[in-house]
Amino acid sequence: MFGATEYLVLGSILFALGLVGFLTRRNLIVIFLSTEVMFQGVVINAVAFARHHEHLEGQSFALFLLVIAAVEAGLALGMVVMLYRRKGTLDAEAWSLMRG
Amino acid sequence: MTSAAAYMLYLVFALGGVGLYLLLPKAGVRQTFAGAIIGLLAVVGLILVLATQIIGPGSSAGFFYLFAVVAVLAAARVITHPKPVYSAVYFVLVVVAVTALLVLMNAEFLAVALLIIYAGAILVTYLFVIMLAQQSGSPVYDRRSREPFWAVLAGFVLMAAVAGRAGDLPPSVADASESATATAQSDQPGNTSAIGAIIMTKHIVALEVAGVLLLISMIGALAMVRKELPVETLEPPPKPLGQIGREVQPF
Amino acid sequence: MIEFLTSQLGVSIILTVCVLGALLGAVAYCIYFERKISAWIQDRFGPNRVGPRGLLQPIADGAKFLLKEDVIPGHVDKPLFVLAPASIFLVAFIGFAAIPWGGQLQLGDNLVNIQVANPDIGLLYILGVASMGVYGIVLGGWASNNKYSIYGAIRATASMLSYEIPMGLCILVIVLTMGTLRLEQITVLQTGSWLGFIPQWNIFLHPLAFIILFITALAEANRTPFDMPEAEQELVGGYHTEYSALKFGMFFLGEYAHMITASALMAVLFFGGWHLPWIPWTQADAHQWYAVLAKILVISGKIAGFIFLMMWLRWTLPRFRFDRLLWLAWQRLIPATLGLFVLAVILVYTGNHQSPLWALGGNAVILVIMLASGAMARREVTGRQGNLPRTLPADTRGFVGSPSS
Repeated sequence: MFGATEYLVLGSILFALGLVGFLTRRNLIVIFLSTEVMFQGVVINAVAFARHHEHLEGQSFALFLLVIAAVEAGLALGMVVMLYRRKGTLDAEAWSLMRG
Repeated sequence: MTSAAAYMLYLVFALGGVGLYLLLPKAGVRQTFAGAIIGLLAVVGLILVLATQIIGPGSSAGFFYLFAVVAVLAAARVITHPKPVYSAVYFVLVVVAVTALLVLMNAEFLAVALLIIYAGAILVTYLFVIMLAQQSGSPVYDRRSREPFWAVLAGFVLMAAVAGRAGDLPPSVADASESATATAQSDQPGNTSAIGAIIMTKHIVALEVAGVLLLISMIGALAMVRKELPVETLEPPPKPLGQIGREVQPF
Repeated sequence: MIEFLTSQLGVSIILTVCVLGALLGAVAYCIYFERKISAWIQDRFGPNRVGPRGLLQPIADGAKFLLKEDVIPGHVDKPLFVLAPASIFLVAFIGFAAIPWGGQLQLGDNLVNIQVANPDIGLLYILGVASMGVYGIVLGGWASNNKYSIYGAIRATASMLSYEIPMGLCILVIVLTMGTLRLEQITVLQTGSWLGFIPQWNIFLHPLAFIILFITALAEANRTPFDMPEAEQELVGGYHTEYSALKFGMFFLGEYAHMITASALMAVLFFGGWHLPWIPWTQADAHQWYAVLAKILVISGKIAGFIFLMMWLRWTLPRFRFDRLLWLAWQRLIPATLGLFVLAVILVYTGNHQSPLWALGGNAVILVIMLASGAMARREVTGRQGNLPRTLPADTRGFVGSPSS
């Protein structure tokens, strides 16, 4: 019998680490890298459930996740380049001008 | 998972949270050494909990431990390293470890797709942007975290909430006609063609939508980056950068 | 012990050691032959001091790489500076695990593959490993903390990312035609013949895909005419400007190992791998030891032929200008390979994917479209011709470079 629990634990750890990085880091590129770490946790999770239920829905879901990740990376990096060209810095807080 | 295992897991997570808090870049004295020790202790504890409570003794899960430890440590370095290039390189390590874990779960097509898409395309693009934007050194915004305590608390509470329930799996819905997950041995057909079949029949609409999404994002990225820049960019960046962030740095 | 040695795992371990040793030797001698071939092309002698006809030159070179002082400049990012050549070396050599060297061998009762591993995803494995190759260049260029190195690394990243797309599409054409990702299976499927004497190789089905794959292989290995990342006249040494001794040697060997991988891949995908027509030893049903030896020699010969072709091109063609390089990938090769891909899909859908008549006809149509659009665009290909005068002076016409005029 295949145990999915350890993979689910690992996936949740990766997701939470990515979340912490997303919340704490101020460099725009590292923020997006943290979201990619979260994606890795989700991929492990999906494939573990696919294995648990012994069908391929989870794996095909993970493939579509990869597509979303590629789309996200392309758009996010385009935005980062544009923001960097405007302010000359990658600091996310440089854009918090509306904060009271 | 028994409740004892869940509580042990919470304990390990608390330890890991303390380690990660100490490791995150902060103002003042950084306790990286203590953070690294506590973090490693947490990883060792995680292995022990997994080995004794979840996987069980006698199971040949050596590769799982190896790649799981690599993935967790590398992910921790991604979010704690003050230099973004190192974050990207550690993320490559995360991707390689996750690829290996997917192979262990007999998802070899997905594993190679992950390697090609993430390590071969996405991460190279990240490195490209980092190279263009940040030649060397780590500026103040990479050496100061934003609310590290509350972020670590939120993240690890989420981690505990999710992982604590990971043992309560629903019964498998496996069905004899649908069990297409073949083993990864070389003399057996593998699951590449099975995945192709399910994507091309059952999920064909999602596949088309994914293709359209990729096209839209490509056009969007091009349109965004090619736009003429406003005049404000011609000025040099404002000098007292520290005032924008939380801590004021005398320059 | 004997049982272990005749099992697939034992053979794989022995083969790993043999392939690694043979490859290191082959890579060292590739450098020797590169120098010899450049000498022949330029009417020189080439290396001829060490050993008979200079044959021991690679050993002398290797000793020199080992014994020179390994300088790590003070301004570099040390961990990445060390990691970069190691990663390029590693990535260049693990791709060989999925190459089928010699079909199957009968060992006692076992029929073992002369291949380190035969995974279901062999072709994708090689693609994935090859796509990791760019890290060594990027990290080396960045860690050197040197403007020329950064320019080399940026050029390398852009060109490798761009050329991966037509490379992947060319490989997809073959995957569609063959219907499998196993390299051994792809080889076996090519062992038949048409009309009794034309080997059933994919080159006779999709010659355009092969030519484009060859071009992209040159670009991926940073070979002339696409060696922009290390263009000496513009970038000193490119991404390896700051490297010396063994680390530079690793970059150097990695480039040649990359060439060998690409050649092996082309030999397997388009030229039938270990198959040689008309010789019964190299057919799929020959499992004796001499047959396997013959197969290994055949695939080695094919790889050597491709490497010779790459070296010949290096010493013949001028270098592309960088923007023309990307223009070629995005505006010429990707549309052409997309056309080939659609052609392959149509052929598979109509059931004609093994018919050379239909496939060659489709290739001819795409070639005509490519040439017509190229002729209508009236653009220079390499971008270097723009520096020459449009019309030559009357008295030198036809005698450019002639010393007597």
